Amino acid sequence: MKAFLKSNSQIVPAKPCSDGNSRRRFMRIFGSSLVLGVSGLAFSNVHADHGAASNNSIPKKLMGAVGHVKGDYPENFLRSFYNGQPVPADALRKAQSESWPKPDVFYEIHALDRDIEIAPGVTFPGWTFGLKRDGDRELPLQGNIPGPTLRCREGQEILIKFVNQGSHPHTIHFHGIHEYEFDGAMPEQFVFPGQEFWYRFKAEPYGLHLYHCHSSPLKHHIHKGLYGVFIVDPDPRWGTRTPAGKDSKGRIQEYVMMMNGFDTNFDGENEVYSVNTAAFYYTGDRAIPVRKNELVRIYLVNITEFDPINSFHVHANFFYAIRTGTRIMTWGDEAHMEKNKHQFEFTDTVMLCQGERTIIEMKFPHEGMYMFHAHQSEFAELGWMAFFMVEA
Amino acid sequence: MNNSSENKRAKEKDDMEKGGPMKKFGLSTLVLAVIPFILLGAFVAFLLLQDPRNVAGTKFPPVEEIIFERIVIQTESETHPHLFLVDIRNDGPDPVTIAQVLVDEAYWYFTMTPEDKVLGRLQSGTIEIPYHWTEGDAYNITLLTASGVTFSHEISVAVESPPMSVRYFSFFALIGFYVGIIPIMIGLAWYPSLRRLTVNSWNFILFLTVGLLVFLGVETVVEGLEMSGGNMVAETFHPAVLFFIMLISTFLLLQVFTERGRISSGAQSESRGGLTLAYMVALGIGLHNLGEGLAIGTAYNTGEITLGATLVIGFALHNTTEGLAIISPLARQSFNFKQLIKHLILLGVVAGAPTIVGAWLGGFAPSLLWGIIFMAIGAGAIFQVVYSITAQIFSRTEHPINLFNFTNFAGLMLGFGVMFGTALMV
Repeated sequence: MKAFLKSNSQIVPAKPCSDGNSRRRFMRIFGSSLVLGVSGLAFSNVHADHGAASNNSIPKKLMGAVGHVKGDYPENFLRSFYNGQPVPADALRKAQSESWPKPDVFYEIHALDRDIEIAPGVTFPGWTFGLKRDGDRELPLQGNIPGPTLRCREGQEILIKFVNQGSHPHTIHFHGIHEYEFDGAMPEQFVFPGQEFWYRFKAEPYGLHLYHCHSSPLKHHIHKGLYGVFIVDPDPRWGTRTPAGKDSKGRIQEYVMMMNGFDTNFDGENEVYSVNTAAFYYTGDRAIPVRKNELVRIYLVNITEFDPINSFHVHANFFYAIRTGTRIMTWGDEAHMEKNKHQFEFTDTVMLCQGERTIIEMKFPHEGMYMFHAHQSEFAELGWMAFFMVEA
Repeated sequence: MNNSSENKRAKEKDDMEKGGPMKKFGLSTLVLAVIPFILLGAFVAFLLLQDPRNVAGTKFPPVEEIIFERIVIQTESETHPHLFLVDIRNDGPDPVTIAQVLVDEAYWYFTMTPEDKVLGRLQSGTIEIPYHWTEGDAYNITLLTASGVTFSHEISVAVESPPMSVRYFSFFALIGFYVGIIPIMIGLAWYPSLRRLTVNSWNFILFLTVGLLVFLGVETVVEGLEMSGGNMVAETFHPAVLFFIMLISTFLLLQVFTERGRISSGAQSESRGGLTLAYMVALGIGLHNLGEGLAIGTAYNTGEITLGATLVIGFALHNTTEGLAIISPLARQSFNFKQLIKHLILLGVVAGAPTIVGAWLGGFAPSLLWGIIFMAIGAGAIFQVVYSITAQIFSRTEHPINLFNFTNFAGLMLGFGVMFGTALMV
């Protein structure tokens, strides 16, 4: 009786039970949900089917968020690669005055404060990177999370004009090989609100890299959303990656996936996990359509803050993992692939530390809906859950 | 001069005693009294138009506060699957939108009333979460608002909330009967032996009763305050303040009734006063038992206790002493047998039956706010009875100073001790 009187309701961080027991429990629940198969997880059509038809007493279609994220940024982000814009006159002048080599690739990137919907109905006060132009096309210049995927070729001279329109000092810190001056990490390199800075470097080495703000406090600046993917394609002299296949709409099956998380109540733990920001986005009728037996290439980057690792697991298939993308894998006949197996990791689950990345190459031999998600079930059930829809 | 001012003062005094000289409460007085209300209205309108926060020039983030008032846990039936039904209330100043629901760190399907999922200030809502829960497990339910704030509630032991059925209705009635009515009736059976007591030993018993009641009263206050301090009742309702206000007003109201009863019954026999007092004690204990029943029912509802035999025995022993407290004012009275039986049964019902009502309320529709109110009424009633008994003892005694002796002290201490000892079993 006394126990009742002590109310046990309390405002606790969203991850209050971290003991082994509770973990085990939802592993079990998660597992039993999986038994229901894909039909039980048709997120697009979430309604409680209390169906007496199922002799399993677990009602179907229960997992996941309720509703949908408005807008289609994750959809566009997935296949958008930005190769720069024509070098404007002021950039040429800047390069000349500093005696830098003539830039091959130019980007103008702005830091902007912007509210982002990270799960259906949940907005996050984000700090974002936005791109001003793509080729000859003027972009709406609204920041997003993750920032634009920058893609160039090994050896190209890159010039970036960075304008800080946000409310805090920011930088762009690129992974890659460059001079100290353009590292964007030290306090004297912070770009204050209203100011701008030029980053210049040669794109090297080839591989899958990333960029992010390196302002202080670092943890905060990263988890607020200031990050993006930076892809350097290999110099053709070393070879080329096997071209990816095309989906039923003729789009190249190359996808950018940034594993991220959001701490919505600022308790130092993520309430939402996802790939490309929006929880449970690529589910239901937003599953990613791919063609059977056509090469799929995923540029997978982990930027998840607060957790030491994140992971990627695909169902009913295996893939090649090219760590950091610093090697070139080519696809060929059976004998060739057998040889590849020894050169590259052949697995169905990879684990990435924060900042670590890997290129994933795979083909789906069977049609159907295939889940992919973090193999930490906790992350999966908190939003990092998605589907490939494999078509004939 | 001196005389006239003295006269004036005397008149003023007279006026004040009669209720003051301002006997004419005309229209003009009304208008004058309304003016401040008009001014206040205008001021509020001004504040609404010109939010003082604007002066600071910054946009303040909304303050969000959600409390969990009640969780109902249901098993699968023909109409619904396994369910958590969560009653929540917005206890903050700003509207809150519930965007997502997590069960044990996993986003989960849910429906909510109101359908737009927006709760205004003090508005309550119900969230329905189909979930295949396991009996005896603990669950964490977390609400994620549109702005990313989280509110969590821990279900410490998941058991099915008793559904409104004949079975549970009779179950709670039986529990109330066992811990309320029967033990009190048994306590009343001390009546014949009390009749044989000398004045001194009767005083001993009365002080023992005071001891019992003070223990009960303090226990009720502590429980009421613990309920108020929990996170399951809106802070906006000021539960602790409400508790004390209800306690004090109950005390005073009962005091008014007691005094009125004494005046109207005039200088009638002491026996009449004793009977009134016995009923007052029964009423106070009854209200306490209503709170106790409420607590038992709620604890059962939330799966925090299993009402095993040991617990029922504990409550029963504890409550038997309440029967003794009820009849002790009657020791010096004579009734005919028929009357006596009638009164004893009635006293037992007044004191014990509320336990059943409380168990029903707590078992089927537990509301902490009502629990707090009942506890406050119970505590107020008990303290009023303590006051009445003490006053009666003192008024009967020629030299009250003689009451301070070891016998009476021992009675009081025994009262505390008996309650303490039997409470250990609960």
